[in-house]
Amino acid sequence: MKVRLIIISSLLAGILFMSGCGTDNPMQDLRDASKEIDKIEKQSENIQNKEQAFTVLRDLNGAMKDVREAALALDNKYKNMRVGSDEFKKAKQSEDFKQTMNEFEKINSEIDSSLAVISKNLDPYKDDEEVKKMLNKLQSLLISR
Amino acid sequence: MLKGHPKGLLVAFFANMGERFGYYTMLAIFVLYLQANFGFNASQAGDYYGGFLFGIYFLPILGGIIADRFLGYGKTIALGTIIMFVGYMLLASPGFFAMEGKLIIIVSLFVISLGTGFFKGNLQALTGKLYDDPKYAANRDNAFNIFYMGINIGAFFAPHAATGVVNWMLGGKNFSYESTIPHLSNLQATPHPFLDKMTGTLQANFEGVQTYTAKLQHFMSEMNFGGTIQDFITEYPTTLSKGYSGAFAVAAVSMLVSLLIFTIFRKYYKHADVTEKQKEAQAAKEGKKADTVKMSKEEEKKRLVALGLVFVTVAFFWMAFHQNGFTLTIFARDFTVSDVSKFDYLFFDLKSFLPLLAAIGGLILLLRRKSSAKTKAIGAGLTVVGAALGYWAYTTFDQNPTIEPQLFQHFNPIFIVFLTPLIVGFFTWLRKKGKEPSSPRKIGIGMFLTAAGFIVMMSGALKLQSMTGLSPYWLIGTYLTLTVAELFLSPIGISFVAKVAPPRFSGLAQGGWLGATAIGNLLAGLVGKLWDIVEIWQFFALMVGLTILSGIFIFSIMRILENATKSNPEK
Repeated sequence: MKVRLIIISSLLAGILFMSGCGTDNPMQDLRDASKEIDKIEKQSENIQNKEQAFTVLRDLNGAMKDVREAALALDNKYKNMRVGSDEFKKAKQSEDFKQTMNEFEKINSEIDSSLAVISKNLDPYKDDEEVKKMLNKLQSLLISR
Repeated sequence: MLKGHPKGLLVAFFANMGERFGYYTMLAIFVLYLQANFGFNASQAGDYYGGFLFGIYFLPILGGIIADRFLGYGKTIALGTIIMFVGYMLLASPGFFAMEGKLIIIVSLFVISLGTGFFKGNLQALTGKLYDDPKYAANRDNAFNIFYMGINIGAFFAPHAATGVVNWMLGGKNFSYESTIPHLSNLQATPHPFLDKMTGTLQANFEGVQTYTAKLQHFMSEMNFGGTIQDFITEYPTTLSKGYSGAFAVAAVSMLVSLLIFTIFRKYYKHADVTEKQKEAQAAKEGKKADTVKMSKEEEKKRLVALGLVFVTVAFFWMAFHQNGFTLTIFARDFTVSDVSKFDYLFFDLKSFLPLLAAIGGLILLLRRKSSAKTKAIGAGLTVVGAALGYWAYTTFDQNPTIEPQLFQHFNPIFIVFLTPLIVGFFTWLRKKGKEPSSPRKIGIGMFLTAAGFIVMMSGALKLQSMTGLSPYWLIGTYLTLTVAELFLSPIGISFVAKVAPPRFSGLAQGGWLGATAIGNLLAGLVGKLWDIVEIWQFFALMVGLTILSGIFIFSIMRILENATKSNPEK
């Protein structure tokens, strides 16, 4: 009986542990997503058919979802401010904002160059029905929840 | 079906149905409400969802103690209904009185949980007590199946009530329901320097990338909204919030209906509304020997251990099952095709679905060999009228109707109502052949069926690797399998508790059953946090693994459980 209870307790403990997974560092999450997009860029160099194009785009959507979450987490600091308010103007002048934005832009430019390659490599397949649907998802991905 | 049952069962049935209707009306829109009003992501909404459900099912332990020791079942149940009414009204108030903040939400959720704690387990205990009478004792299992149908009839209509109220409120201002608008409004209203920058990057590399401003303007034009974008992002969320509040107010009203039923028809259950403690006190007052069940400490211990083991295992069932209001609803919204054919939509609109069900029911009556001529005529009438009404509804649909995610939740209750007679018939057939599994075995089988339900989801999620959205039939198939699992597990579990619980702990034991559900719900919220972390198919694979392990566990302790069911107390 003890063994059985240990097994069931371990299951419970496992769930508690797993639910705590994930980082609280959005910049690190963004870096990880950027690395992932870099991998997808390399994967896109070898696209031979529409199925592979779909897979690349699906993976890109997954990575861009992480980018979105990281960007929203960084934006979260300003959730109680209004667009164009003095409070937000002041926040934008702060050292903290400038430093974060610098770091963000560095990663952003890496993502930008990867996206340019991926997009070019996907060009021949953009008229395929399933690829098109996935592209539609990408188009609204950053503003979805 | 009601032959051989006391009239008190009907009172419990309808009181329960009213309460569950209100509860599920609220639950159908709860996550969407949190995401719309507070901009929560799945993980944050999961904290509230899991916490609330934990309270709903954990507090019956407190309700059980209060009923067993102090107030008795009837008074505790009535008090619980009043508390729930207050809770739902509190929850409805922010939308109507423009109140802000999460505190009022947290307080109202706690009040609703407390009221449910007083109500739910004790109503089950009271129903069980009706069957202590030897005249009815053999029908206890069936009684809980009927009782369970009451829950699910209430739950079936609930999502439609919620959707109806929300759409009615939106329609009053010429708006239509668009689940993304609250989030887009939030993006428009507050600064998002990092998201904006990233949107620019994506736009530079891919054509047609949308911005939240452009998307909002698209909706404004679609709904012929004349004001500015600022007006729109204020008015739409406010109206939607009022719609949600209206649905919460409907829940409050249904508590009053439940209370009325329970109070007016008290005479039908009054004789069973006596706890062991009250029996002893009454006997002492009259100087007589109390008519209570005597049970040795050892026997009580054996039964409590058996109950405890079942409680631990079923927690995993509820963890998996209650993904229905959480990750399965998110799956319905994000990964299921929402624009469907007119034929598919027949199953999502009440004005077509109910006639279709009536037609199927009629057809069964018509074709059944045992049916009398009169019953066959009724069956034929139902089939013709149901089919005609269904066809009429079909002709009124748009060419490409849209499914709202919460509507998937009506499948579970309707499957319960339709499958209960089949499952009961199946068990009766097995009993006649001497092959009916014991209650604990049914619970174990239920765990494996749950795993099967999530295998369906896992297969669907794997298909998402090569396509963008799944057909709604994947989710419907999962709900069907999970419902069969639920019928093997839930009413049978309640009946098992009523049978095995030592009489002086009847209320507490039912509270314990619901407490196990509470742990499961808490786990549902915790596990749901993985939704944003792992791949979708991995998430469903985890559900499969956990439920299979729980099934194996319950079969490994089968002897202990079956022994507890067999032993009989002296009276």
